[in-house]
Amino acid sequence: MSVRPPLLRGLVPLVPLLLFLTVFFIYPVSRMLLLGFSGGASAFARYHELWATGLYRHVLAETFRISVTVTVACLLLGYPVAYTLATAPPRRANLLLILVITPFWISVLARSFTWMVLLQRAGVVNQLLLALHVVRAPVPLVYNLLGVYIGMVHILLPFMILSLYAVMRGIDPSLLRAAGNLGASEWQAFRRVFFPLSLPGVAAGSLMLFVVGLGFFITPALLGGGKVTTVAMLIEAYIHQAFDWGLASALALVLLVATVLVFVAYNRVLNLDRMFGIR
Amino acid sequence: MWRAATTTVTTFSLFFLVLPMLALIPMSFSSEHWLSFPPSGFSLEWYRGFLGDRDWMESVLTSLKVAVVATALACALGTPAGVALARHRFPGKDLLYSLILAPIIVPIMIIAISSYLMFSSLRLVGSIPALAITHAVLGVPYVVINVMAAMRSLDIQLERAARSLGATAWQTFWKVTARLIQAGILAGALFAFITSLDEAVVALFLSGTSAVTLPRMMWDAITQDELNPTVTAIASLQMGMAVIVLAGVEILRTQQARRAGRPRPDEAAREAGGRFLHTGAAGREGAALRLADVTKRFGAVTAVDRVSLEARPGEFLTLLGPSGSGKTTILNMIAGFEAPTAGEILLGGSPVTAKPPNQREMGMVFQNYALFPHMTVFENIAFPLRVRRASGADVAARVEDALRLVRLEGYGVRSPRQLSGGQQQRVALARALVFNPRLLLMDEPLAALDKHLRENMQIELRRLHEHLHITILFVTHDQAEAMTMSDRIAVINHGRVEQVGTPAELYEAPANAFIAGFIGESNFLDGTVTAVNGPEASVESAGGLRLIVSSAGANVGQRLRIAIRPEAIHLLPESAVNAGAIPAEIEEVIYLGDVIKCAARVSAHDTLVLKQANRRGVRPPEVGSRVCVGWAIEDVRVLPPSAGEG
Repeated sequence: MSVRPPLLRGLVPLVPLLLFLTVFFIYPVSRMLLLGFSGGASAFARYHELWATGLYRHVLAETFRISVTVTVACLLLGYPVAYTLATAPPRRANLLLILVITPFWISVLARSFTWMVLLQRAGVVNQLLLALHVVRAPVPLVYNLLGVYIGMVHILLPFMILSLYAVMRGIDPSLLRAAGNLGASEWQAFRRVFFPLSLPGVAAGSLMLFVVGLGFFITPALLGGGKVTTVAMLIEAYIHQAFDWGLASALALVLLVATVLVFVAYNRVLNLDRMFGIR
Repeated sequence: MWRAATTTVTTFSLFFLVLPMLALIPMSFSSEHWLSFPPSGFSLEWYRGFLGDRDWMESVLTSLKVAVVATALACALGTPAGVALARHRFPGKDLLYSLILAPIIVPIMIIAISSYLMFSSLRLVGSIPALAITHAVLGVPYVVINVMAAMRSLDIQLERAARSLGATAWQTFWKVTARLIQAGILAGALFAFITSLDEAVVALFLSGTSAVTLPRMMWDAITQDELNPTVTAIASLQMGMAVIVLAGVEILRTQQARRAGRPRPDEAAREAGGRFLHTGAAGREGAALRLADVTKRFGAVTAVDRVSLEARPGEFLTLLGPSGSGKTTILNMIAGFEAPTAGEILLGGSPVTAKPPNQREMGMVFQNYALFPHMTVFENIAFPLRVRRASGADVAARVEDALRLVRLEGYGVRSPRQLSGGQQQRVALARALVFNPRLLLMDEPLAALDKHLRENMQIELRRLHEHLHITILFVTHDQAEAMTMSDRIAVINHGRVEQVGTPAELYEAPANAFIAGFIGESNFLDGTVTAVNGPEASVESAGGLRLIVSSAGANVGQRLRIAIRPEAIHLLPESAVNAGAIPAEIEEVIYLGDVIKCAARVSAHDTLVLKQANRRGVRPPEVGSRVCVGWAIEDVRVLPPSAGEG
């Protein structure tokens, strides 16, 4: 520590991990992606088909739409929760935090399954809506886009809350007291002081959710009832049902490029560390 | 209104989050074959269908095997990488970090089919290694992230303290760093474990028929026979396991906290009392410290500029300077935490510049004390002895002596967190002294204490110094503290030594305006020499004030800076103007108790601050009253016009 260790010696601990990721992550992903370009002219035809066929554009657009909708819904539902957590006394905040992370305790599969039961025609949610006279007849809540939204929001909401909370916890509460002392109402203090300071959390959480949402498979497959197709579902179908590795690989490349582009754009604006600060 | 809206949305969101959990448990006990809520009847059928089924149980076992191997792999690879990433800067680091985090960003479907492609050509589909390796790829970013977060919250002073107490780089990592980041490693391991245990997409491709994991079985159950209620039993059991694990972690934590307060077994050997104070040998006599032209540059900034300095054996030398003056950098170079850009540091006549901190035999007391939070007071003080492989009985005896020296007998079993600031300070001191260092370095050690405690500690430190005859290098920005404790003071400003001397020398003969303003207070007047008359010169200030100063060799027209201490200025009646005193108007009077401080305007441009001892019978002047001020010519110091303002 006295003299900074020579550069190379300090990097030795990174070598095993880098080797591991090269062999078991970079190599297989690159190899898979290259399949999309195999076969010379047919490779060009493949990408042309992806571009020209309405189905693929539709699936890509739907994947983006789902991800955006879910992200916005999580932001709207999660911000007040994170704000409550950040401003509550520590004991209560801890209790509420336990509620927020409870969904982590059971598997994504089981959660999607539970929503299938709760949202079905005779399910508890429909019964509740009927009892409250919100609807006259049971409404289709699952095996459609709505079901996918509900399931995905349920899985991603805790991540949004934790991202927001990580930033909000760092906001000095005396700033809000100072704002009050200077004449700001509670709403003004929130609007002019707290909210602008919480924006890094909003940016980090939104982007993380958006990027992760693009790759969703389990929840849309189970709750979409065949009416919703995401890119990941299409890739799986090409491999397991059509055995067409070329198209699957081309689709994977499109999905990867979309994900990385969004991510790089974000990384330009904010620091990478921040996004993962909580986890 | 908006508060009510916040509460409503929060309540709704939290209810939404826990709703499936609330519904699952009752459903799992339902006796009906089609799932509805609320369930009717009660049966354990679905639990029996899960726990009594060979295929389900085998899938649980497979999942556990895969998760254990994947977690072990992720931790073994991710921990060293996280430590290295948090510690070092190097070109391309951001890119490397992005690569390590990429498995979180890249859709799992892509990773799953890529692994499937590779492992199928290796004929490893349906094997536990294939699943575990792919799950390790997914889990390793969480380990790296958590280790890095733990490293960032780790106080670097703790590692420096370990090094200065004699630990090698490896001992420091093993005894301090690893212990303090183990919670981070554990958190990363937990994330990796859960990720693997809950992972279905990779398993969809890699399970084959021979390595079917639990999520894969669940996926099949859900997609093939619609709404198989066995899944509710599995999920309820998962929740039960999670609660048990969480409770276990909580119990472990409270036990650990309790163990921290329990006495260590090796405190028995107390018989050799007093050795600490009485051994005059073994390097107890302080060594001389010499800095020869030491320079430190950080990029284009020169933090320390050709500093030469000497502390005599047994001397109490203080580095005094404003914050940012470079004094802490000098201390860090002496301790070996920073390497000088140029120059040599010598201890007892031999150079130590190239030695690592643990071989310098210098005790150091850090500003924030840097007590190891995972060790008791006893273990903290024993640390430098243990890394030197002292025997158990010797360690116990010397720690006891050190505790007695700082008047903390019986505090050995406590955790540093249970001590007050002053007590922590004394533990840090005992730890720095227990291995008989040749030099004691103290970096603003009293800054965090309140005034009363600080003054007590100053006296106690002086007493210790007289008692131990150790060489002490003390760093402070507080001139009163420096004056109280030091044999000599080196005043540092802008990375340079401005003057070295005893407190009296610095006060009475400051070398320049910076010293005159920094050590005590001074009134400064800038002026030009108008006439020279033997040893005396007439000076006219910018405000038109005429003064006589004693100045050998001054030339007419030369610009000078004149300094007069506030207590050297006498307050005289207005009539004294006839005797050559300067007429003045009192602008401000401050009652300080022991002294009364006044501001007296002597010209349109010049105001002098003066101090009068507050004795009985002395009436403080009134604001606005007209008086005269005067001083003895010997109390006026003539300085070169200085760039460094006080």
